[in-house]
Amino acid sequence: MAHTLAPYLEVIRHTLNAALCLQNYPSQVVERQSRPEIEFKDTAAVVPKPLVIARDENEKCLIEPSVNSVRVSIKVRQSDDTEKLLCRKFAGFFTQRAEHFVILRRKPVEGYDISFLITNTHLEEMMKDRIVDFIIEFMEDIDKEIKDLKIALNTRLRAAAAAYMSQFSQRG
Amino acid sequence: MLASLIRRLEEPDIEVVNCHAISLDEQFLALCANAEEIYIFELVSEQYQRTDAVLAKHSQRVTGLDWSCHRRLLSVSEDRTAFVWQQDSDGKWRPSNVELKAQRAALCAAWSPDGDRFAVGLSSKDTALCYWHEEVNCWVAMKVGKAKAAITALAWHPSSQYLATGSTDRHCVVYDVSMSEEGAGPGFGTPQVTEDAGAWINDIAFSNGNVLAFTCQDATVRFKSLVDGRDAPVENIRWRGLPFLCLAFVGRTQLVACGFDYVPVLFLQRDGAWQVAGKLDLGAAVPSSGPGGVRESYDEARKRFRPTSSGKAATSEHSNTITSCCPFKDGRFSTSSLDGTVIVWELS
Repeated sequence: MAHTLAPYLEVIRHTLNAALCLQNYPSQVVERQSRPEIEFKDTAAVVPKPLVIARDENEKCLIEPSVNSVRVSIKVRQSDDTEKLLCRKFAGFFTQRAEHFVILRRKPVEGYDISFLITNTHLEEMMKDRIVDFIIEFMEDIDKEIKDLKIALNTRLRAAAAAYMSQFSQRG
Repeated sequence: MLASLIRRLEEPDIEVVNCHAISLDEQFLALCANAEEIYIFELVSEQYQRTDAVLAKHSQRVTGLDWSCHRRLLSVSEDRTAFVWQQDSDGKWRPSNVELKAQRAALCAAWSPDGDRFAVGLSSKDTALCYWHEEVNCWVAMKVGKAKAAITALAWHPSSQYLATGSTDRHCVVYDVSMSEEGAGPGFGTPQVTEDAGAWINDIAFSNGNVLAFTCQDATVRFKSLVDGRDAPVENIRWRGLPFLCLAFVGRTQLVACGFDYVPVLFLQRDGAWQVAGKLDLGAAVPSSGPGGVRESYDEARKRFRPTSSGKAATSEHSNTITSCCPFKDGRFSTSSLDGTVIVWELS
């Protein structure tokens, strides 16, 4: 592999560190409400341009900053149909349990597999470094997890096929 | 260390401080724990002691607090209201109403240096300038200016005649707000100086030496000396770190900026030019790891449960974003942070 994973994750870590400078920002449109500007885009001035960090077209990360919220979307490398299926199942597993993951967005952004939404209230409750670490660790793990699942799946398929075919070989 | 820590306030039940204010004589401290109530602390034998007073009039998060020179406390909130609190002779804090006429949340508040008027920055893109109206017996607001986005920062000129506002539409505007006995002056509400900041403005400060400083989300602090007129050049000082959220002049030539870096940073004017003097809280030395493999593996295991992996939090006094900063006399200033602490510093 020409590019290793480490520099890619390092760039994401630095960008997240800079993007996660959030403050409380009550809505200008709806009174008595404070809502994530990146989702509603009420005020164009407080939503800077989004950033895409990519290893290649199959593996990239979209970071959309705003004054009180940041949306981080990840596209995981999927080289064949098995990986596509595993990735879809894996993302589905997480999004169904989104309330336990706190910063996970229930629906990924168009074109990406998994999205996080971090608001200023998360930063009040949790350490910023810890949130960044969580996202980086998650990205490291999801690659490994999908590869492991694929190997396990292939092993089981092979075992099942061998067991099925063995009855023919005995008759023969 | 360039600054020494005078006192530190940490309450077990206060986890987040989103704003605070200390009166000019340092006697009273008001703070809001990211909720509707305001707690009052009093200075007793060099430490702040919590008093029984809990000011609960707002129905949403309090966003701004400020003490006037007459020891009145101004509080503004996201519920579009403001109150002016004054202590009675029996020690109770009595609120007086403010007719704010705000359409949206109030974001910031500042008393004029003479203590007669105050300004409130609003999410409805304008500023409410309030004065005491004798006939109706309450504070009445007059609207000043119209920005393209919410007003997030305010600063009064020491003469109380001019008001600087900073908005998320990237512009910093200084308005003439002079008033006479009869009402608004002839030039009331006219913009005197307009500056483009390049990013949304987080805070503004006015020095006694007529210098206007403002900081934006791009981690710069911009200085403009108004002695040289309204077309004076803007000095743009870039900080190689995260953006600042609050500014405070602690002298004519010293400015303290605090924000997402968890530490206060000092800016100095030397030979007519502003420059970064450095972090005021250099942090404690990193403790060396204990001897023995068992100890190391224990540390290793404990790292997993520590709130931070880089250990940055352990080396600075504040362990989260500094949200407000207020200066008082003798080079002293106080900072409050989202980690629930308030610290009073003194420049050495």
